Amino acid sequence: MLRERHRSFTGSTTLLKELNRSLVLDALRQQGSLSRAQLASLTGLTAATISNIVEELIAEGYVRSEGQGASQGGRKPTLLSLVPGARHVIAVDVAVDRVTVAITDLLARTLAMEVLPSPAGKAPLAVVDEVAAAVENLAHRRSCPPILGVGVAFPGPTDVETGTALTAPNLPGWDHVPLRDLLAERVKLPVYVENDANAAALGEKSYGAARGVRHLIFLLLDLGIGGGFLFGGEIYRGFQGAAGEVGHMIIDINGRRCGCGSTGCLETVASGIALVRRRAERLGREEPEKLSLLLDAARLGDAQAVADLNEAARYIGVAVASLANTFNPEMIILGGRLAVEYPPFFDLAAETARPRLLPLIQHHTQIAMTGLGRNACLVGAASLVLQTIFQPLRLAGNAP
Amino acid sequence: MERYVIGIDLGGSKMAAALADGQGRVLAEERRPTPVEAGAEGVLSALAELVEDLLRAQNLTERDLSAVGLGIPGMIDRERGLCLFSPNLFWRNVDVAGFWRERFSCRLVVDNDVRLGAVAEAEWGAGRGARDLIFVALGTGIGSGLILGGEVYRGSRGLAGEIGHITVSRDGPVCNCGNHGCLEVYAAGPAIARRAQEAMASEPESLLWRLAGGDKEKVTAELVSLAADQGDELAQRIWEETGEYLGIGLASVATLLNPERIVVGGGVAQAGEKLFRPLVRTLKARAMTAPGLTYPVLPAALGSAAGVRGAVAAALKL
Ligand SMILES: [Zn+2]
Ligand SMILES: [Zn+2]
Repeated sequence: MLRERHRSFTGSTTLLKELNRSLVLDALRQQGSLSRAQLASLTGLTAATISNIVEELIAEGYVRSEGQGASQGGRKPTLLSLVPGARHVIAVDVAVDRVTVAITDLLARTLAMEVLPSPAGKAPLAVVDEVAAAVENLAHRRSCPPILGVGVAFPGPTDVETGTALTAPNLPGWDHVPLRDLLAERVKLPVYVENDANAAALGEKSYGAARGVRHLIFLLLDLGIGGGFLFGGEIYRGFQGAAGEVGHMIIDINGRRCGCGSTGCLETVASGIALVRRRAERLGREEPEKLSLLLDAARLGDAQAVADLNEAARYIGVAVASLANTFNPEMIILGGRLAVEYPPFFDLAAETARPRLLPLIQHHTQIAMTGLGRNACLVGAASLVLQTIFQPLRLAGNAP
Repeated sequence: MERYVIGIDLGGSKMAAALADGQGRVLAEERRPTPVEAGAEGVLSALAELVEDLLRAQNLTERDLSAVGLGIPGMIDRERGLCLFSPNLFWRNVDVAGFWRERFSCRLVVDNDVRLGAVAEAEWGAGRGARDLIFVALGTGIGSGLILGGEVYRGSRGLAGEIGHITVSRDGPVCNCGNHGCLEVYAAGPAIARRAQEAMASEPESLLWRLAGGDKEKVTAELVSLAADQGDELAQRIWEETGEYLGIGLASVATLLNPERIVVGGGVAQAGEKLFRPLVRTLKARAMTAPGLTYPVLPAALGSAAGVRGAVAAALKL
């Protein structure tokens, strides 16, 4: 793998140097602390190259030497480690009912955050202005090290090449919005835009439950239902960038009408929006209540709320089995508030899925809870920026 | 020296092999019944004989071969050349590569037959030029080969593509796999026959009775196709519904994968327009719509030769 990576970069010495730096940084990120010799053997780089890079990284503040490791005879080697606070990153999670803006360190750990009100019903430009203001606040509140960039997780298909939000099924008015350019103009930082479930899948791979996993499906179970497909270690986007719309798999031949134009989609029976709407109908209310209230009610034992959530979980289980049987991933991760804030949800979905897996798939598919809690999309957004220094290959490969 | 390859499509009833040159041009073909009852040893021996005869007829020897590709209907461990499970051949954990090495010295690649069909359609058929392609094979079961980003997508254990067991209705009829409401229980060949048989009970006038010689059990998907072509309303209705079920199943797959093209082949697809019309209409109505999203559906171009041609392609790529 390493050799293969090198091959594609031999054409350009600057790029090769960038790549070698990132190999060293990524090794330190994953291993904690390492000696120069360990770095050389892990990255496949020569001792001289490691020396040069380490010196440079220490000068820039990314790396520090940290006492001495175990000796294998002779002098004890100096251990090197990553300085998590050397640079900061801004992560933005645009959700249907709130926008979260956070500042994180190089390990994607949140240092401070602002939660903005729902973007629904607002013009995209107004939302971008609010986000830009929050970014300014967070960036200037503390004596902040340089900020590498802004990662944005968006709740709909996106064109990552141009940073455009293509559409958002649950957020009308966001068709073909040049989100990257609008935000970059205001915050004067590099901006990276990605679909929220895709971002979360990347976050799980680098910082969550799916480290080292090459074939992963992340399900974002929240107001809407999103899916992020990581196939062979890369996000699979499909022909027009709309792949992964798990919420619009058909689960009921004669189901209810869905916002997407179809009927019987998974979202009509198992999404947060469907749940709060059904509850409002049943209680004869005009306006559905907040999802958090429904989840609270279920946790407190409200029988109807429990029954509704359990039924949704069983539908998710059926969808998980279909996905596992069709795509044979190593792991399917459930995230989003339905999974995170109502604990029986995950167990019930997994219990429903397991017996439905085909025999040979059954023993090789992990169904896992998100390793990032409520912050999967936020960490995913941060990882969009962080991968530019830790795994620049993907970005270089995508450059126009 | 010109080097050749052989591609083999091993089916539950017959096996077909083709000898091709280095460009994939087929020079000779041969088809024989599969002696399933002789067990794995017997089938593999017959297969070896087929290869030897094919070479001999062209005055070639094994030394002229660079590789052989073999497609098997079942779950395959491609790395180790094992057939893990094949319900059609009644095989479980058959060491195909091991058997091969005892007889031949040239390389062998073993793969799932539908995956190979997808490769052939992508290379030479209706999928040509598409980077993200779903090849659907409709037969006794429903399988698919997924070509994503120009490569066959296999998943973590090489099992990706089993779209026949995608759930289209959670509380639907029971499938062979034990689940309820799989696409296969609505739209595979046996399901088409079963639905026709059920409907026949209340329609004594149906042409199907005559075509089946008065015995409902003799009705097959092929017979339902014949009856529909001769104007039988019951049979036409069955195809209409089959197309709708497939449209629903493929709408889910299309919404998940956003493919550039969907190619539909296999024996049941021979039904043609009466299947494709309702399929395309339903797919359009039930797949996720967004500005610019389209899901073109094409009939497979290589027919029953797709498996052999795909095996040739796999051998060429070795
Ligand atoms: Zn829908
Ligand atoms: Zn099934």
